[in-house]
Amino acid sequence: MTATTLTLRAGIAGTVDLGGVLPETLVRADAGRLVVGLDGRPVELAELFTLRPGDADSLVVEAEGVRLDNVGRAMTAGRLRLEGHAGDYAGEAMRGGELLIAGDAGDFAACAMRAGLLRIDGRAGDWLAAARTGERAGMAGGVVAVAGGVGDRLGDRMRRGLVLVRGRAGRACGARMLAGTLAVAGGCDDLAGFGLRRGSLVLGVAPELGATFNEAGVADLPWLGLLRRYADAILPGAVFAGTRARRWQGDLAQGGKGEVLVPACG
Amino acid sequence: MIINGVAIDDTYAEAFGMKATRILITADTPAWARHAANAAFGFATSVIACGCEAGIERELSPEETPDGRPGLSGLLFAVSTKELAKQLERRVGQCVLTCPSTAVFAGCAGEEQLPLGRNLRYFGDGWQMSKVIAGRRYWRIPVMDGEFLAEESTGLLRSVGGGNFLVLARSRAQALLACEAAVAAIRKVPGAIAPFPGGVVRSGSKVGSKYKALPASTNDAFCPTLRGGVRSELTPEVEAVLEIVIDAVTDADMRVAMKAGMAAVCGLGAEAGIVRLSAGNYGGKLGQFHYRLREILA
Repeated sequence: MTATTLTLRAGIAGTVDLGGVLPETLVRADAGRLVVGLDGRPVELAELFTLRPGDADSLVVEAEGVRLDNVGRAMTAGRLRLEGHAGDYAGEAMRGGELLIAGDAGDFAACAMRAGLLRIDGRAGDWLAAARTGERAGMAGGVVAVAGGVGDRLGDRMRRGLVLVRGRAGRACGARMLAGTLAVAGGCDDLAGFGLRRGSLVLGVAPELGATFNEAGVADLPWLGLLRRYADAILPGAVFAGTRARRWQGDLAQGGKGEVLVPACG
Repeated sequence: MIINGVAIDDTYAEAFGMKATRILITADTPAWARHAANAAFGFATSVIACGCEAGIERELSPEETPDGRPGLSGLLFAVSTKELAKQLERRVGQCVLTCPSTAVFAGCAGEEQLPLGRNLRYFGDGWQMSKVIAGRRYWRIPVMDGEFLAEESTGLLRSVGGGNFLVLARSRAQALLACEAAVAAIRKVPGAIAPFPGGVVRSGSKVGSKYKALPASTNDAFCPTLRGGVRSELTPEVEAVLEIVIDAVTDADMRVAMKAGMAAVCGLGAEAGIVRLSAGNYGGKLGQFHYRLREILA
């Protein structure tokens, strides 16, 4: 059982649009003729990569020195592993399967994601799991796990799902979030939860919150035990230990049904 | 068939297809999980007038529960899906939601689902929150000690209820001791409960009554005091009869549980005052499941 492997040919540089390159599309006999993009112009896949056939449900992409946008876009099943860094829109509109990025990911990863698992071993850029420009909602299901930190606007207008971050998030983490759960072990910069409607920000470090968040004191919340047990199987350390948490309700300007939770002792 | 001096009647227990579910109750301590379970599964001895039959299946260690706290699993059985759903919601709402520190989870999968926290969430008056973890929806309902966590729904099981056997002894004390041993053995069987108080019932019933309003009445053929007035099943040395009723998730669980219980009684034997083992049936016309005592003990 070996994975189908795509290896970037020597001498290729620029931005490669890998949209449509998925485990299931590469088992076709004419997979090498699949059209992808190089710096905005269409080219056949075989011009950029050497293809070693393998299992239909597993694909490994080996690429260094180029920017790979749209990795795993609209993926529905199987497993795609990128050995290297991803550009923007990694895992955009995912509907299932597992996308593993061994390096960093650019902006807008997991936007419009509905199901599946996106795992990023490095750090992620801005607008992770957020709404794309002009869209009403961001990520609407599935799980994103980032071993490093993430940029600004994590989960902006996120609708559903779970994002686990072991590092630190940038500004406006969980801003305008509609529902879902963000767990960020390293805490986040200012404007956390700005415009939060529902949903939970589970932070390892207490953030600076605006005046439209009210502290609700400490409570013992059994669901945190459930969440941590599940999260630890995906990305250990993303959810803080214990079930006692200090809770803020907010954003009161948006109904106050969202929450920010930090460890009770933090 | 005689085992250790105990005669095994050539008869069978007649059991019925029932709808069932399993739920898991967790709490900060095993004691509080048990308080909730005792309340929820209390007054659930017989579907005749309790709506359902229920009981604790087994205790669970923190490693075995979804939220990592101590707990226990319980089984509920009813004659219809509608009645089971009604009893489940009522009992969880009044006895588990109300009990400090508890949470409740589905204990089984099933093609059909029964509401668990789906409707109880409205107790939160709009402050309830939904969380989907690993594809399963949970409701966080704010209560005065923090939150009550309830899984959205639990699975429906097609199961067997009403398996039974009768212990005929030389005295009530001896019958009780034997039944206690049987219940202890049955409680070790996963997927089975003995829903009556202490797992034992003294008021075995027959179908019908001289009074039109009653669907069931005392099993006069096994009442020692009526030996002079009815066609009795009891020999002169039998002074007391006790029954153990078993509900089980599957036919196989029922057989294992009945065998475990009867073997425990036979283990005590005639020396302990046990005379016979028999079983209750309705001529084989009402229940889909027949459990022949000799076949199970063979």
